Order: sequence, then structure tokens, then C-alpha cells
Amino acid sequence: MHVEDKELLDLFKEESTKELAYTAIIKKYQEKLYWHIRKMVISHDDANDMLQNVFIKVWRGLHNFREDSQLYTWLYRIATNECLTFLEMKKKKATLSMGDEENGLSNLIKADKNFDANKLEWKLQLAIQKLPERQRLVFNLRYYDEMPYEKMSRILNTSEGALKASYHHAAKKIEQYMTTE
Amino acid sequence: MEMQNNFIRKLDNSSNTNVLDSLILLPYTVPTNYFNVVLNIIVKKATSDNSKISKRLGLGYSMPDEYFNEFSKKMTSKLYELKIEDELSIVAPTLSTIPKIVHYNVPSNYFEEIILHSKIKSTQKVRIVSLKIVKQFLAAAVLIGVITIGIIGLIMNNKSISNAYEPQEFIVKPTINLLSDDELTKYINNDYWAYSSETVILDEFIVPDIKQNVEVVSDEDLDTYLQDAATNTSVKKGI
Repeated sequence: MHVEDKELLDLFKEESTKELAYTAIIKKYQEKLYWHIRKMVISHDDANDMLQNVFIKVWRGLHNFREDSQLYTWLYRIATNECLTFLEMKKKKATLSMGDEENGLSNLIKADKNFDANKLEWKLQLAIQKLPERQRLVFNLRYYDEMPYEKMSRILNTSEGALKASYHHAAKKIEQYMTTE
Repeated sequence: MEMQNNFIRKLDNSSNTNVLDSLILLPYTVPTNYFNVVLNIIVKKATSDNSKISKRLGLGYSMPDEYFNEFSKKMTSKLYELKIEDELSIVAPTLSTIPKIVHYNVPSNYFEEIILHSKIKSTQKVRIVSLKIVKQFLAAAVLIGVITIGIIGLIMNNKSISNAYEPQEFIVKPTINLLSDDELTKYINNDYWAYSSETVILDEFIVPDIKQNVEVVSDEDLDTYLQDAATNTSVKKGI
């Protein structure tokens, strides 16, 4: 475990320094976790809600953290599960209301203040939203966060081989979308 | 070579037969320098326990169990794992040319404020409710309120309309209590109440004549006239 994270965990265990350690953890990981969530759910409001949910779970569950993995891995796992649960609920609501979840996310992208249909980066975002949730996760972690498969495997509890296959498949699908649309 | 010779001498001494002679007689060939090489292999295999090696070498360091077994696997996987850029250029060359920038809009000072919000919410043990859900509930509440008011308004309207067709109560003034029963009976029997609803139409020609005539007519004639008028009316009514 990273030395700094170990220190933070030790500080968290002490009642007098618990809040200080908690603030330090938030400060250290908030942006990484925010962007990890935001790339999945698109909406800032949704990402904000989920990020706060994640840190509430951290506050409640950190004393039970077994330290058999990196703190970063544990945090990412919580954030990932929050995303998948949220998207699953959204999908059910869309099914009930005869709506289209995929179009909903695409519309959210287009509604962003900075959206520019002429820029390739935005076209890429629209292409990524076409992927199934898990594949989207894998793609984002590898492409944007440049996460090694070994680390990804611990976060997503999936074999490295399956992750590689998923990423390659996703990249090809996106490339096809970009060249045909 | 010396070891080999010692080994042969031991064999020779342990038995009555002449080993050298028996070896020369065997037709098998042996690779050159074989016995020196095999000696090193055997020593390495026999001393493959790490702690023994370190003890032999006089080193006191410890290392994780199965370190050297895992080491070779790790090195192999590292050799085969491509760099992310190289991987993408093979799998999806077009993607590798696109800049990895995400331009999503984030409110200013968001990351400074989130620490405070997270701390407050964590310590208060409050469940986060999405703003979207709250807005939806508010919209639903407003809609229900409007519908309820509309229904109440309709009900009230219906009541007032139905009330319009109900016969109104005629309130008898209390002053009627001042009249005696005889007077009331006379009033009713003489149909005096009937006359009150009659519209008396005055001939416009009669009115000026009446005025004129009243001035010339005496009081006695006037009384006679009035009595005759009352009698005529009674006849008409059949009384």
C-alpha cells in the first residue's frame, strides 16, 4: 500500500484525527472519482449525487477496510458499483416510460454547455455512450485513465483476458461509429 | 574431473571387479564435458531452497515466499503487455489520433465546496435525495393541488346552481302578529290580497276628468259614487 494512504488510514482510525484524514482522502481522490463517475452518467447533478454517496460510504465503511488492496482500488470499486446501480435503475425507468436510455445520455451530452458537434472529442463521447455499461467502464478506465489491466481486474473483479477482449471490442466499435457517422 | 576420478576410484575399491575395465568395454558415447555440466545442475537443484542459498552465501536477507516462481511470470507478462498507445494504434488506429480531452462543464468552485458538503452529510447521517426526484414530487404535488381545487370549484358551482331552482322561503314580517285573526280572515275572504297584485290601469283620459269632476262634484255625490263602485265590484266578483 502507498505510504501516504497507509498514514491516512491510521489517522482515520484515531477519533481525534478521523475528520482530518477523511478530508485529506476526499481532497486526494475527489477529482479522479468525479471524472470516473461523470464519464459514465454524463449529468453533473447525477455525478455530484453519486460522488457524495461514495464519500458517505467511505466515512461509514473505512474502519472495516481490510487493507488487502490499495485504497484507490477500494474507492474506485465503490464508485463503479454506484454508477452501475444508478444506470440500472435509469434503464428500468426508461423501459417503464417507453423511453430510450441511450438517447437520454446522448441528449445529456448534447445539452452540455461546451458541446461542439464539429469536434472529434464530442463525437467520441457520443460513440462511447452507445456501448453497454460494463464495456463503457472498461473503455473509460483504459483509454482515459490508462489503467493497467491488472489493476482494472481487481476493481471490476474480472479476468485480465476478458478485460482486454472487452476493451479491444469497444475500441473497434467506437472506431466504426466514428468513421461511418 | 578430479571428482569424477575419485568417484571411479571409490567404485573400484568397493567391488572386486575392475570398473575401469568394464567401462571401457561399454559401447556408449557421452557428450564432451558432460560430467562437469551435470554436476552444476545437480548442485543447483539440490540447493534450490532460498534460505539455504542465502545462508550458504552468508546473507541474512529474507524474501517473500514463491518470489522467484512469481518473478518469471511477471517478467513474461510485462514483456507481452503493450503500452496503451501501441495497443490502441493496433486495435483502433483512428482513435489513437483523437486528443484525450473531456470538455464536460463543471460548476466553478465545485471541488472546493464538495469537501464541506460531504463532511456535513457524513456527520449528519442524512440520506442524499436527488434534486431531480424532489422536483418530480413537487410537480406531482402541484398537479394534484390544481386538480383538487378544480373539483372543489365544480362541486361548489353545482350547489349554487341547484340552489337557484329551490323555492325561496317567504319570510312573513313580524308586524303581521299585530293584526287580529278576524281582520286577517276578513282580508282573505274579501280577496283584498288579490287586489294588491292587480295592476290598476288608469285611462289617461279619465285622470284629468276625475280631477276636473272632483272639483265640481259635492261630497255627498262623491260618497254615493264610491259606494256604487264598491257594489259593482262585488257583483263582478260574484260575492
